[in-house]
Amino acid sequence: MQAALLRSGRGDEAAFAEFYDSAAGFVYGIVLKVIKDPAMSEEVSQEVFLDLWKLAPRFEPSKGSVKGWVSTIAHRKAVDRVRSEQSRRNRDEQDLRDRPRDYDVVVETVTQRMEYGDVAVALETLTDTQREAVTLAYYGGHTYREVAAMLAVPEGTIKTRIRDGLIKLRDQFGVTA
Amino acid sequence: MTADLHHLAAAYALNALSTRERRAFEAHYPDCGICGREVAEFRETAAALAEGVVVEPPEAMRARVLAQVSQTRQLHRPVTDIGATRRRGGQWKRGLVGLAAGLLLVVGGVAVASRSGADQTEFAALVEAPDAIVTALDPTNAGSTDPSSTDPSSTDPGQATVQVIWSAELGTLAVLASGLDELGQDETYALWLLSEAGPVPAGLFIPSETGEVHELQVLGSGEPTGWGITIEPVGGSDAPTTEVLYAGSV
Repeated sequence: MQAALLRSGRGDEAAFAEFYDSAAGFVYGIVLKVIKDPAMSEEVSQEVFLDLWKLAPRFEPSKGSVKGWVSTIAHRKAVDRVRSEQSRRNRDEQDLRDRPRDYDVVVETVTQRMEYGDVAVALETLTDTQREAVTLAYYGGHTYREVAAMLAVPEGTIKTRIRDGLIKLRDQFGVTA
Repeated sequence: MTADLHHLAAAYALNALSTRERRAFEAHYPDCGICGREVAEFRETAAALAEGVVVEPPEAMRARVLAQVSQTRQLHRPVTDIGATRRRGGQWKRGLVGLAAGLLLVVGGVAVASRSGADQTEFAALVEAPDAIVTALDPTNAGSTDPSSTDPSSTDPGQATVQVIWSAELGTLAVLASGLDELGQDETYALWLLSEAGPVPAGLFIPSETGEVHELQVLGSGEPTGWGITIEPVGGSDAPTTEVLYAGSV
């Protein structure tokens, strides 16, 4: 993925096609996870790839991995789309009442999907409340404030759960920077 | 506020901060050794979480992406980059100052030296296009009207010069600027086409080390009544997420 991206950064479209083939599932997967609607996810993923093409000359391997860079851009774009759609809609009582259901769905599908693999194993090492906070924030695309409101838990507590959860995951994944 | 910022790296890496907090944190962490390292580590951690939900997209997406790519200009490398510096050359950078100071100099034939020949030709074509409209953008002082702003990186925006040259016929625009504030590592300036339908993204750009911008953008369609500039997260946004810093009417 990295070699193809670096060549893409010099305007090589064939290299970008190669990069696309190695990154498409990674980008679309996280966008779909956050947005849920397949059509909108495809639209946003396309925008993400266009951004990646434009930004490719500025990718610096010394500052982090390709996957870290790509997932940051893809996830943020997905989250921003969800939030701008939300603010367009009326945030009325109904919307608030819908949220707890939304939350159940997120946690369920995450657990289902990840019955295998390193990610599932790593998530298992978290406490239930840490796992809940991390997955609602990352896979659900919610701000920590929203997570706090959804769970009726103080914001500071959610911040701590997210932080402690990520530290544990970081160590599980053996991430070093 | 600042003491609090140190604890936001994890939520930031998961994009779980509000826009305001995100901005505040982005102004803070590049200069904070601890937060900077944490952001890097937590980003890699988040990438591993993304790894757990890989789903292949519909086949048709590939052709659409690649078709768009072939019509889309890449951003330039920052001038600090050795390769880019060599490519552009000092002469070009000196030329920029003149370009930003006034379009007449450009029309008058100031050497638009080096860089790629294609760029140079396109730029000249834009400047000489009969329908080219030059708009000077003025600071809105958005930054200074916000008393709660603790962003240490925001300085007086009044010193910058920003111009947009646009030709509907060529479907191209250029942003010329000097004296723009430096951005955080995860930020980009965004140009917005202002119209009755609201702001439409019109390209992203990052100033050189000396605050200069010389960027050509392809503009598919749109009938601008004005232009605006905001700071957005890298990759841009669908709609402005921060206050407009510079604006001008066409």
